[in-house]
This record gives sequence, structure tokens and C-alpha cells, in this order.
Amino acid sequence: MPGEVNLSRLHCRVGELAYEQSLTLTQLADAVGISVVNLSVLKNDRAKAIRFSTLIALCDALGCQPGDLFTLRPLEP
Amino acid sequence: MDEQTSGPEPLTKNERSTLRVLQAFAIIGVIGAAIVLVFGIVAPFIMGGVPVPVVVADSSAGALVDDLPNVTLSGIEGTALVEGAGWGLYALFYASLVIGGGGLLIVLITVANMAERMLRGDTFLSQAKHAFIWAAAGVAAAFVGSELIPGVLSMAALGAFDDNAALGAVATISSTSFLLIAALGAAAIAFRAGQRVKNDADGLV
Repeated sequence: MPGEVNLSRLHCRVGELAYEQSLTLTQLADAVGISVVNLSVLKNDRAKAIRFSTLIALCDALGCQPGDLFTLRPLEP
Repeated sequence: MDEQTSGPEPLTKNERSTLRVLQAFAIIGVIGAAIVLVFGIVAPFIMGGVPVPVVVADSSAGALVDDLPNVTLSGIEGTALVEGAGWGLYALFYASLVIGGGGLLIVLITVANMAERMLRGDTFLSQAKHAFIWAAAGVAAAFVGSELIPGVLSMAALGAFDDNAALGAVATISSTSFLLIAALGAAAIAFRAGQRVKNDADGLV
């Protein structure tokens, strides 16, 4: 288990991608098969882990690759 | 519940109903045990002596033996009253009541408290270790108070009876308490493992 990792560095772009696809969070949650609450957790960068099954379903629903879903913010000095 | 782990309710309707029934039984048990404890405390004053478990002569033994020649039945377990008992018997009697009743109350209160916390969403009971330690301590106290001390009380009281009135002491030790404590230990380990799995899954989407 790695030591303390600042998880807030990892930004999930699910909100932006859903907006680009003109999808509401409810529609996307239905398409992916997870709750709106969990989708909101993901969108607001409060998730600590993501299942591969959720990742694949998100990519299918948003028509993107896993790499498009996440960006990593640089380390703060 | 942690916002990051929000998802489906951890308990189903049936599980919640079962927990409520369990909690209700535990609360009724607490009230019942408290009433029995109070009655037990005042009993020596009302009855005029210390009630002691002993083997007493069985008046029907003769008839039974006539019908069943191979059976020798001379006594049965009963409760005899020791009038004018010394402080030692009173001390043993009250120790038995307070420790046994207290142990039972601790177990029941722990069960009610655990059910309440599980209903509030603490499914794996973050403080499960303490709850199980309290429950095991309660079972141990109930064992000491309801089996060990009454046995000592019975033996200590024998001298106060005529040979014909009390034939022997009643001292029984059952394995139930030991099995319960072992089961509580196993459940505590299972809850700790469950808590670890829950911690691992926190924030998993």
C-alpha cells in the first residue's frame, strides 16, 4: 500500500464529457448503471477508486477512451 | 454514512425489521432483568431468610422406587430458605444476584446498542471490538453470578440444615457460557474483517 497520496490531484472529466455529449448526470448514470450519487462523487473528484466495469461503461456511454476521462494535476511544490 | 460511499442502503427492509425486533426484545429483557434483580434484592427481607439452591428430600421417592425397583430416587433440586443466616450467606446471595443480573444487563444493553448502531448505518460497527468485549464480559459475569456463586452459596449453606432437610449442595457448571464467549470471539474477528473490507471499498465507484 503506497503512503499518503493526494487523490485530489486526479481530476475526473466525466462532467465535461457529459456536457459535450449533452447528457445529464441522470441520463449518464442510467446509461452506465450506477447511482447518480456515485456519479456525482466521481464528477466532484471525491472517489478513491473506480471499478474497471464502471470505467468501461463510462467510456461506452461517453464514446471516449479511459485516458480521456482523467487528468492528473501537477504536484504542488 | 460517508458521502463518498453513498450507494444502496447497506441493510435490507427485512434486516432492519429483524434488528428492530432484536432491539425490542433486548429492551424488554433489560426491563425484565432489572425487575427480577430488584425483587431478588428485597426477597430475603420479604421471605425472612436467604433462598439457597439445595438437594432436598423427595417425599414421592418411596412410591417411585416401589414402581421402579432399579431406580433409587432420594432427592430433587429445590430452593430452601435459610433463616437467621450469617453475613457470609447474605454476601454470597447478593454477589450472585448483582454479578449475575449485572452480567445479563450488560449483554442485553450491548445487544440493544449494537442493533441501534447498525440501524443507523454503522453496519460493521466501527467499535465492534469494544461491543464484543463488553458482551463477553457480560456472559462471563452471568456465568459467575448464576452458576459459580450459587454453587458456593449452596455448599456454604449446607451446615445450616438438618441432614433430613437438605441432602446435598447444588453446584452445576455448564459449558454454555464458554461456548458463547468463543462464539463472540469468532464474531468479533468476522466483524473486524468486514470492517477492513468496508474500509478498502470506501470511495469505490
